[in-house]
Amino acid sequence: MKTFYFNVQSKGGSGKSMLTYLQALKYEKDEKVAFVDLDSSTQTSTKQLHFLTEQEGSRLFSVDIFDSLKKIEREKLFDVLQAFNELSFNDIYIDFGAPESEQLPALFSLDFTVEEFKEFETELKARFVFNVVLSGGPGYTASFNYLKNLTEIAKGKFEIVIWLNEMTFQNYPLLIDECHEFAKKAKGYISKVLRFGDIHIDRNSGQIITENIRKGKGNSAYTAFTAKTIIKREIAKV
Amino acid sequence: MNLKRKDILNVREKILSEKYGKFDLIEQIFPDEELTKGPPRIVLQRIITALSLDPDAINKQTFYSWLRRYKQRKGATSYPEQKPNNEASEEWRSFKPSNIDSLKDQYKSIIQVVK
Repeated sequence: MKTFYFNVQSKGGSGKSMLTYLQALKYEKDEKVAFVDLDSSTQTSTKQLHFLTEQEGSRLFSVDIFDSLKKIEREKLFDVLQAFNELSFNDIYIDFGAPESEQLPALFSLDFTVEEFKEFETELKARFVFNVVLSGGPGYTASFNYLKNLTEIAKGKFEIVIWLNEMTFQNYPLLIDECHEFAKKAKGYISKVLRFGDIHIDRNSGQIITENIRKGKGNSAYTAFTAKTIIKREIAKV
Repeated sequence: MNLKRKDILNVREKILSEKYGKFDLIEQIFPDEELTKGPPRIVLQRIITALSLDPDAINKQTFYSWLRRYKQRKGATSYPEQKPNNEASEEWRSFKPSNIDSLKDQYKSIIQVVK
C-alpha cells in the first residue's frame, strides 16, 4: 500500500523542510521513495533536496497548487495525489509550504468532508499520514493551535504524528511535556509524538549541518565526525 | 448470543444518537473475540443484524476507525490504556497551549546570576 506523508504546519519556520531533508537523507538510496516540494513561496525543499537530482531517475518533484490568479486551488491537491499514485513509488513525502498547510483544514471542512477525503484514500488504495511539526519558542502557540485545529477536523480518521523540532524547544522543556500531555489526552486522534532536529547551530557541528542543508548536500557531504554522528542520530529518529 | 433486551436498546440508542463515543457500549454486548477477529465489514454486519439497525445508520469509516482504535487498545499501545470516559476523551478539545511569555517569567526565577 502506498503511503503519502504530509509534512505540514501553517506557522512558517517551524522546521517542516528540515524534517523533509532528514527524511530524504534517510531514503537517499531508496528509489521507491519520492519527495515533493509543495511550497510555491520559498521552494525550500527544491533547494535542500538537490542531492536527489544527482541520481538517476526522478525522485524530487516540485508542484504548485495555485490557480491562474495565483490563489491556492485546494482541489488541485486531489489531482496531485492521484498523479503521484500512478507512479511506481511506495512512499511519497510531501513538504507543504506554510500557506499550503494553512489551506488544508479548509479543504476538509469547507470544500469536502473528512469522510470524503477518507473515501479518496480508500479509492487510491493508499494511506495518508499527517506529520505535523511543532516548534517551541515564539512559534509555539500558533503551531500548537494549527495542530489542534487539524486534529479536530481529521476526527481520528487519519494518522496524525506530532514532530517536535527539538532545536526550537531547547529553552522550553516544559512545552515538550505539554505536547506529550496533549497527545495522551487526544489518544485515538494523535498517533504518537516524535522528535527531530537536536542540532545546536552555535556549535561547529551545527554550522556544518546547516551549511550542507543550505547547499542541498546528501550523506556523502558529512565527513566530520561530530556532524556525521549527529546526522546519523537524526536519521534514526525519522 | 443471549442478549438482554435492555442492553440491546441502550446500545442501539447510543449508536443512533450521533454523539461522541457512540460505539463505546458495543463492547458491553459483544465479546472481544468477536470484535477483534474477522474483517471489519463482517463485524459491522453482525452488529447491524444483532441490533436490527438500518445498514445506513452507521457511517462505515467512522466505525472502522473506532474498531481500529479498539483493536489497538486491546493490544500494545504507545500510551497507557485509558478507561473509556466521555469526559476525559473530550478534554483535549479544550486544551490550551501555554503562553510562552508566562513561561519566560518562570524560567527567570530559576536562573541565578553567577558572580
